[in-house]
Amino acid sequence: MGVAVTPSAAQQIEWQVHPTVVTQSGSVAAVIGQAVSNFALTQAQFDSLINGNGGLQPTIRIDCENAGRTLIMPLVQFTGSATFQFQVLGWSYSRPAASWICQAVTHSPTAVNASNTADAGTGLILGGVTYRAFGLLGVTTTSGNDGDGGVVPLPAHYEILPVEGLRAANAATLAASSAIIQVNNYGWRYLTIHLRQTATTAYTCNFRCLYTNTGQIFR
Amino acid sequence: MGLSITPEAARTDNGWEFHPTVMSSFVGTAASLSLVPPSFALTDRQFQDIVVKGDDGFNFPFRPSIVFDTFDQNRLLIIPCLNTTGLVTDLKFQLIGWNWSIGAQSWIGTAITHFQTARTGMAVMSAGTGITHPSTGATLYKPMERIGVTTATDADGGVGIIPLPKQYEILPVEGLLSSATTSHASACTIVVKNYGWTKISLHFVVGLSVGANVNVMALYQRNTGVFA
Repeated sequence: MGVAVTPSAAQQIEWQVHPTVVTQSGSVAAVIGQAVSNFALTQAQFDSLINGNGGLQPTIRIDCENAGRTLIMPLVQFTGSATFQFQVLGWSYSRPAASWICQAVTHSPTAVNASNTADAGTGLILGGVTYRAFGLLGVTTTSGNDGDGGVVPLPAHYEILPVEGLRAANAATLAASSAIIQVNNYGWRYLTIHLRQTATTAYTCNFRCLYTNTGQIFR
Repeated sequence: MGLSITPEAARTDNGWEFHPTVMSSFVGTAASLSLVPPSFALTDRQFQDIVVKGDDGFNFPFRPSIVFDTFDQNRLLIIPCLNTTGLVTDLKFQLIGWNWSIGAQSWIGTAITHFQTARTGMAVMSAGTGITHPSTGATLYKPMERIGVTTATDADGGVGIIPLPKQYEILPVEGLLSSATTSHASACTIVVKNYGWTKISLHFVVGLSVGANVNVMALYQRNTGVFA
């Protein structure tokens, strides 16, 4: 005899503003904030990565314990012209190794966001700074439709929902919207997000995110 | 001993509803039928005015979007239907999911569908005689013949049928084509798996070869069943 199961309804999400802001200026292609030096970090190294100190910028860390899914909306304020690459890392502590072990959640990060031409509308003001969401995530060209070759096939543990928010080409006729990353949690305790930009002239950048954790399961 | 679980069957008691909002506009070159939200983050007043009411403060009539309430709903099925006497040369749709963020004090919009493709040629619409909406009299609306294909000649699984992200399905990609005399009239349906949105708005861009009125309405149904 089977057991009748009535699945719970969709869990409504509430976008949280992550308190960490990564600020950087420069004139060459570089990682915004700190680059992770190794896949295994001691507790002190990990704390330094997250908190920043001695002039080092902090890193955006999302606590995802017991979260089935984490949705992340990267937000960028950028004065200059660049394309971006992002990476999400998953972290879990290993007692035998006495280290935080990280794994790449996203791979070969591609993100298209001509932030100086505002793909995603006028933006969101947080702390007096206007942030813009990504127009495209996970595509290799700006002209790809759904399923075109420019759309990167994704592994099971993350999705990009969707690859396209509002693009500059659509700005006059379609509604502004944002591209977000969905991480199916394979057991990570923390997620960190990292951004790299390709500027060749002077820029200033503020990088932060909206995020939400849910326990909802989707097949 | 393992536990055998038989999930609840698909619910069959949710009938198709008419969404009360009808988007109407005189269209020539491709344009949005509703107001274009200026940002992915809107204050509550902006959301109510721009997305729900379509009130830009100086133009009349209002140009609302079709906004579905999806609170506690797992799936949303939509049949967009269109009426025009013109020849459609450009047709795109976009669905946006909205959630209120206390931290940002804003409605945050995320794109559900992206770079939408829909087959045009509505003047020779192939999906039968159409259906009327309760609020617009005898006006006949027709569903799309095809959504989510890049060519007009592809069969199921053909290369012109575009792979989709997981959060939405198009059911099916093909309604009734120009084989109107031999095949059965049917409608293309968009299926949205609700990833937590409380509201979902439907936006349309239409272009005509010669200026004419365009009306868009939607049939929809919501349910809480889980589908693999």
